[in-house]
Amino acid sequence: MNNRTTLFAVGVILFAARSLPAQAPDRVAELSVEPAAITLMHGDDRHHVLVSGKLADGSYRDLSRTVRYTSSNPAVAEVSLQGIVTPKSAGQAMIQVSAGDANASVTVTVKSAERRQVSFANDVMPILAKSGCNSGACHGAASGKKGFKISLRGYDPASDFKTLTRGTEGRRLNFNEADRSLFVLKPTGVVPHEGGKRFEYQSSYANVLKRWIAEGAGSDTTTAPRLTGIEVFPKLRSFPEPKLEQQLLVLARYSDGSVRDVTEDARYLSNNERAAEVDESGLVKMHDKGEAALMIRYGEMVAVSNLVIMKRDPAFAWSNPAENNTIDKLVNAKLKHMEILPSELTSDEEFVRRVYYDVIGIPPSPEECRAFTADKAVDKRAKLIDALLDRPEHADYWALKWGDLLKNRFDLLRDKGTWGMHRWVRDSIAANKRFDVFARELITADGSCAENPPANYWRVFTNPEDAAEATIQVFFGVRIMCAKCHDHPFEKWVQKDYYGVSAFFTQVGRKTGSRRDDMIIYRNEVAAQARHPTTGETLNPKFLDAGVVPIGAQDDGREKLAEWMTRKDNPVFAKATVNRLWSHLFGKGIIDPVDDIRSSNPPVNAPLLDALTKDFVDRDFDVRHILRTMLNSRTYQLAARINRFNQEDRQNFSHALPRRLTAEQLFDTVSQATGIRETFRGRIGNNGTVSMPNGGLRAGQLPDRQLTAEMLDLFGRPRGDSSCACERFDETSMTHALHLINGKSLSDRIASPGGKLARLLATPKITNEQVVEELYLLVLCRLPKAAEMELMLKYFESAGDRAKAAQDVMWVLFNKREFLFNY
Amino acid sequence: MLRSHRFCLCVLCAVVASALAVAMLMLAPETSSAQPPTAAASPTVVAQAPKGPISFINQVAPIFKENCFSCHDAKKRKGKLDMTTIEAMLKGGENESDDSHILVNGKPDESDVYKRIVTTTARRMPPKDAGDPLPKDKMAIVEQWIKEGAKVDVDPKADLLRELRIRWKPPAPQVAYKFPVMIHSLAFTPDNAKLVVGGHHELTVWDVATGKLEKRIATRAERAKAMLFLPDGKLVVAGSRPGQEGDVRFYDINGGQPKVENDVAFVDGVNDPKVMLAQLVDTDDEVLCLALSPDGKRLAAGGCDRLVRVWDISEGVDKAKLEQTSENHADWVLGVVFAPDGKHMLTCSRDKTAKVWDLVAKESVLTFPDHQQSVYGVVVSPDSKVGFSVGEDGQLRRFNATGDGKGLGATAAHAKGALKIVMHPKQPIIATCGVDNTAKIWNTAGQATKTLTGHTDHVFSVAISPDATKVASGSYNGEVKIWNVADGKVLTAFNGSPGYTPPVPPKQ
Repeated sequence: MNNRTTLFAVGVILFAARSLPAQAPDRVAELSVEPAAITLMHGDDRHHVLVSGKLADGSYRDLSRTVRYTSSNPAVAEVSLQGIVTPKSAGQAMIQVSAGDANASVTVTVKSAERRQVSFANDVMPILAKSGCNSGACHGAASGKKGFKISLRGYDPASDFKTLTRGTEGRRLNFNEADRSLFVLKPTGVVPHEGGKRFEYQSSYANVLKRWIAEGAGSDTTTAPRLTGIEVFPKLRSFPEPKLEQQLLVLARYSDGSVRDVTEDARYLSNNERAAEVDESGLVKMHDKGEAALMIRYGEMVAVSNLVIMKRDPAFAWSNPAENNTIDKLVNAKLKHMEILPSELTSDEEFVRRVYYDVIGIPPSPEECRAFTADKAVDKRAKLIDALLDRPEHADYWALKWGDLLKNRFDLLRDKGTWGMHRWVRDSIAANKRFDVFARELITADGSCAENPPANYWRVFTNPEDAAEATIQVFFGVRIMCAKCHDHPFEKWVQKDYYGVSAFFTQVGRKTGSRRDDMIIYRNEVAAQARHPTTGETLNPKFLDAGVVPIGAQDDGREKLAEWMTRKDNPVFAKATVNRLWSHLFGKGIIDPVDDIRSSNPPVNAPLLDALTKDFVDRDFDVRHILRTMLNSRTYQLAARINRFNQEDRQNFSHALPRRLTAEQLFDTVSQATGIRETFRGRIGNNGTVSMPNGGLRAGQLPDRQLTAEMLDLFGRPRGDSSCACERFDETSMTHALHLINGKSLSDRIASPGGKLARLLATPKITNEQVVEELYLLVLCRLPKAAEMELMLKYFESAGDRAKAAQDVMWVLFNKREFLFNY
Repeated sequence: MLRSHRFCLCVLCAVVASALAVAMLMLAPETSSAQPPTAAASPTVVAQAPKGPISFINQVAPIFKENCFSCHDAKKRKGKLDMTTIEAMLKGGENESDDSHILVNGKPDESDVYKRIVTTTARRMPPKDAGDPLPKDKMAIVEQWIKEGAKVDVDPKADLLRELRIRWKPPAPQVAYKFPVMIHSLAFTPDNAKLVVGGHHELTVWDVATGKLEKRIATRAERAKAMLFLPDGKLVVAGSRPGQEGDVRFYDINGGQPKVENDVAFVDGVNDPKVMLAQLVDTDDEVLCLALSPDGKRLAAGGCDRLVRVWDISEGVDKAKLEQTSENHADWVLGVVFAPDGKHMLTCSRDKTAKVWDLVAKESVLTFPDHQQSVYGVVVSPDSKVGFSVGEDGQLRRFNATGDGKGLGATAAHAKGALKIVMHPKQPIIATCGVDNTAKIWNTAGQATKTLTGHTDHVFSVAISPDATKVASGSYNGEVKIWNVADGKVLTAFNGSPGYTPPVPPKQ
């Protein structure tokens, strides 16, 4: 009769279509069922069955909603059309699954079909989380909502129990008419609720709340079986085409050995909704080619399901590119599987510029460019890599990177401290100090900061919490700061983990040294312990994701921590470090962001990361060895130019990712190409003066984060406010585009009579062609193409004034897009 | 020339730069700007067309209440739409215009009130973040009601929440309690012999000396949140049904014809006018506190609506006149007391303050903010000069109630929360109770003289007998204890939930 009816009819038809087998059953070669066996503990347990069909082409489909289910003994266990198993009486039954000729079965053991008492910890709390009641936007907010405050995402069940039962003078419960309790009426909207209707009054969630109250609203937060882990099915699956669906199954395991299907109660999040989207019931819809990590959260546990969605292209053919080392083997294995074709190798001109910037932070000079391209040796790239790793600028450049993370700042450390720290880092890199030793020296540093520069770390991070956050983020690539105030939203870290780590740092003592601006770091002879801010409990030091170690007054917490962190069997330290090194060279980590490692942020290529990690450990944490391996890989040396089969890839390293030059790289390139260096001011605010060596410094050699130069800030140099690599931004902005175009400092440098261009033009008998060539090499590290040369020469002729024309050309080159990028 | 040339390049570069920006955007990690295709209409059972003529108040108004009122009420008026009266709703909101009507009789598809609940677009009500769409059968009721001409069977000016509330009937009293009742309030009778205890939809009367249950008075209110006796022996009760209603009613606990069963007298305080004498007010949520002026002529009540109403009851309970309304707090009013000087009233609130109100000038005179957490109760010294307040901070605080309102000292009273405070009108005795499972007796210098221990759960209520010799306390788990003020010993103890047998061993 109207649109609605039509719409409705369409809905019914779609529903009917969906309830038919999505694939013709005769294509199903084999059925498999997860989990392998089902145990139902009591009358309220429900269990989904996940059925996968293996098709003739070897791929899998989720058939959970399309197969036929039958129970061998419906008196023990019944199974619905949707494959939901319910207990009827104690005993055993088989659930038979069939599609066409394919069959499978799963054993169901019913321990008891009796109802058990509702558990506050394991039944009620998950409802508050799933329904969003305790989210940060609702009653989990710091001040709650409308006088009702519970712990954020339920990290404190004992306190929530008090609030729900006795808070506001017991207003929320009505024991003698449980169904009419405000705790039931509000979330169901029967009494107007500003947060909306979270579930229906007759829903299973409302019924659990009603029963909990009718049973006396008791608490079992200390006695209930503890959630020990969750498991998701499938954990990893690849699909040959988009537009398919996959139901997830989530099982929770408890300390009493019981297992429960919590698919309906878990929360879901996709890290790539473009590829795969997941709804509140755990149903995944695949939209497009790509990889998605689906994060599943239940209680304080996290699990991840990794799905790969392919899109077959008949034109795809693997080109069998050369493989220089293990990196290429592992990268290519993934690319081949994903039907992504890597780009071609870089040209010599592209390679020389890229490797200079990445290893020493400055571009090759025109002479170096010419020499490299002219070199006929087959191993010239490997030789250049070796030579660059040995250059002092390599240590400068990487000291700068570490200075960012360690917050080497003049206002905190003063002149001596800043320089001391910078030189110590620089010398460590120059000497290729073992990375475990580097970390240990830093973490355990004691004594006078003037005499033992790494001790300055403890001047930067002045309390146990800051030190824990920075140390874990820098060396483990893990962000634990969320857990300072509440459970981490995307990880298993809870406050106990956070304060457990910070407890290691509670012995650090600081006192003023005898020398000016010095500080003495020493160990307070007290037990290393921290206080849990919510429970008030005294916490012994706890390694992240590992055991608790009581540390008495005679022991040194930092020694213990450093020893554990840098052990060869520590699973995280080496992995986080190689991942960080990789990201410096490839523009993106294998786990990205590099300092946000968590199970819900999986590596794009785990075998690759594992192999690099193992190599790093086997080679005694030899950083230069790892860099050399990465630089020599064909993967590193791939061009940025894309092809039809890798144009959409941004994560599998099938082509180079063009990266904006850093502020220091841009600045030093301008200085090097124009021959005019910046004189950095040695004074900062009211903090005194930084001593500058004779001859000045390049931007890339500055020891601290605050020496100001307008251009550096414009280009996103970090302020050194945090240990997060994200602080260094690399977006292009209109501000710095305009700075390059109109900036007086740039045109002044180009036109300077003492500059490189003036000297070049003064070269006897130099032709216009030679000038243009030289300018291209100076600014862009490549020779002009024929068309470019022609255009430039024409301009020289039309301009009349040769010097002005040359200046204009140089200025134009600085403003080319390619100048801004390391590609 | 050079300049113009550069300008040219500038334009070029700007083009390059913007192209670059676009390229960067394209290279940037994918953000989900594009909405994924919406799922196909979800399968639902076709709702049966509702039968017969629809009653607006009984069938449609409950749907509006449960799904619309939390945003579209007279206070919030989201989208400038108030749906809590028919008259207000018909005015429409900011989305209604000459071409878009809130309600067109007979035409659901032209009525926003129907269109917005059935649409599958982002315009759907209630909005997506507030939950699922209405069930189909509810949609059908609204549709049918409009088709039938949108007839209204209530006064168009009537507040629909109230109309729904007054149609609600309290449940029949239960004989034996399966669960204990939370004891929110207690009152000694003027002769000191009996204790009135708030029950579940009733008031119960117990013998102070023996702890025997003597009488049960059925009430409309689910809970009695505060009680006090008038000089003429009538009982005033602040009643509540949490989140749904509050009231103040007068009872004659000796009125009516009792039905005696097993030695207990039952009277009907819901319908019998000889028992339930009069009702002063009814509100959308709980009334939480009551106070009587020392001369017995004024009654004050405060509650969840943030208001304190003051009535003149000197002409009798059936001729009470609302004298003034104080809107002086930003959150629920949890406590109220008249100052003996006859000119001031002290109040306290979940807004974390206690305040003094001038009854003559009808204005706020001072604010005491020291608790920094909810202030649960307030009383004032016989000379009207010192206020005593208790709160979520667990402290008993004294403050200057006349001059500057400054704090005069604080004592830890009940760890993690002191819930109530009462003061004898003549004798210098104060009693408090709290979440530490104790009650305490204090002198007016703010010193605890007795700690009354023995409750096994949070103590929600406390009362002092008119002769000042006894204190009664009641708790979350139904325990009632009557204590001797002189030595702090228990005189009588019972569970205030008739017929309730505590489990053995007791549940946690």
